[in-house]
Amino acid sequence: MRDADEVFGLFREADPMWTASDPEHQPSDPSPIIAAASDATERPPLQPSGATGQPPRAWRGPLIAAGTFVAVVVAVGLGSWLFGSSGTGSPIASDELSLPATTHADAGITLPTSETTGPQTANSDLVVVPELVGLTVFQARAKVEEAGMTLVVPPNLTGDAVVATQDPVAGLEAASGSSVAVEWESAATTTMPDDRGDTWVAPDPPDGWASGLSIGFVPDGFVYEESEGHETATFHVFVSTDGARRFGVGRQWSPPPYPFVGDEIDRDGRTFTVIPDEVRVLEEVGGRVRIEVVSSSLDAETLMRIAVGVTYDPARDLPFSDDG
Amino acid sequence: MIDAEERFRTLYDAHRLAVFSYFARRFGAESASDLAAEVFTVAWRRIGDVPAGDAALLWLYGAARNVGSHHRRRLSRSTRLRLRVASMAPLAVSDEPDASAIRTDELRRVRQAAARLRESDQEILRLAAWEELPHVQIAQLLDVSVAAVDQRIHRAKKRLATEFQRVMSSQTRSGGGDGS
Repeated sequence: MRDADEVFGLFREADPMWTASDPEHQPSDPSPIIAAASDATERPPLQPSGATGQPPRAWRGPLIAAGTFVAVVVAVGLGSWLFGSSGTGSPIASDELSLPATTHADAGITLPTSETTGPQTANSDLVVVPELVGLTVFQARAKVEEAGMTLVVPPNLTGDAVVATQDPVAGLEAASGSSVAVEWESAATTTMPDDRGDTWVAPDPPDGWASGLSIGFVPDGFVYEESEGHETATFHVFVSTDGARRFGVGRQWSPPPYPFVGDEIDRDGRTFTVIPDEVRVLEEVGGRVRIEVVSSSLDAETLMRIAVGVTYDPARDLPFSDDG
Repeated sequence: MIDAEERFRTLYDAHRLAVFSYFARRFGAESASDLAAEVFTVAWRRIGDVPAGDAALLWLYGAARNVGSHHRRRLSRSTRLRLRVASMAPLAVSDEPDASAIRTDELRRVRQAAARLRESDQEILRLAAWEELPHVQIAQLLDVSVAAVDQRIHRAKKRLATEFQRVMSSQTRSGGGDGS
């Protein structure tokens, strides 16, 4: 018979983050963070009792940049529902916006093992470096990951940037898990808000509804049109005039339920299923595009495209609700 | 704006792992990245509200609690059930358990026991044991007095011990059965 403190001591040890010897409780899809953590430190800094808050140095570099991006990433992911297509063959349907599942783990927090450009001792398998020059961020990332390597993408890269040079060059062998350093061309670096486009602030929600995300800052060449309301959200469609980049960004209102993967949503007399990591165009009508629901877990590349043009009105918040 | 961005980066850099861990412990690593990013989205938008220094992490935990409870409501019944079941994975019964296997079993059982507690008990135990927050900070986070935290933890520990006992005896009866 154990006393309460003993059991509590056991519970302390049972922290799923650190009980690596217990495979059944390991997350089935370990995030890069966990991998990095176990490589870098025995027990990552959790700053108990308000200690000094020393950041994990080992992965500092690339992540600083990622941090800024994350803000945009999730804000879009959460608040926006992109209306996906049942396959009317739109030009930007899958190939431009939907991404291979392999990249989805990168979605909010990208943790490339970038500081190790050289071979890693942990995994000495050799892979052939793919050809990347001329590829977009999305294409390059997919290729690199397919090869079992990592690609470091600066967070402020524009969606139309392409690889100018790469190191190591294509055809060489490199250690699996190592990273490819690339330089980007036409990568006009944009930070979050800049002076392009008009700022647009979503209208106030009905009484008693908390504000969800709002959209500011419509990029050049985009106009928006408010579509009809919905039980829990209002959708706005952004239409590109250049035909190249179009996407819908919705503003979501509380109260929940937010849609999540697997949910079915009735809209316009049709039923849509919320799907993960996929952005599809529903239909194009007179040069406009309607895009229907995706999950909140958009991947970094898709969001990078969106993030170029969309930022958030800091005056509006996610609903901060009480614990239920 | 530069300042805000710089602050945000520092904040993100220092606490990203803690926030990620918070969610990984509660919802698994698959959704932890997204949820952590949600928290940092809030932090970015309210960067002016984020206190300086050590209090920042507590602020982030506060945001994490909100995002987490939101997420919990968002989960379907079946998903919640799945999470619960996952935390109650059956024990592997070994014929000749060595010391570390026994330990692993115990850790699993104590998690199982914890999963049977009510959510508020679970949460306060996790905050104390896994986030390693001192009672004073838990009190701030939950917006209750330190004495209340002391008492809640004390009670939650006792309930945990009771559940643990139950799990142990039910496992012996139905599962392992070597009667040792």
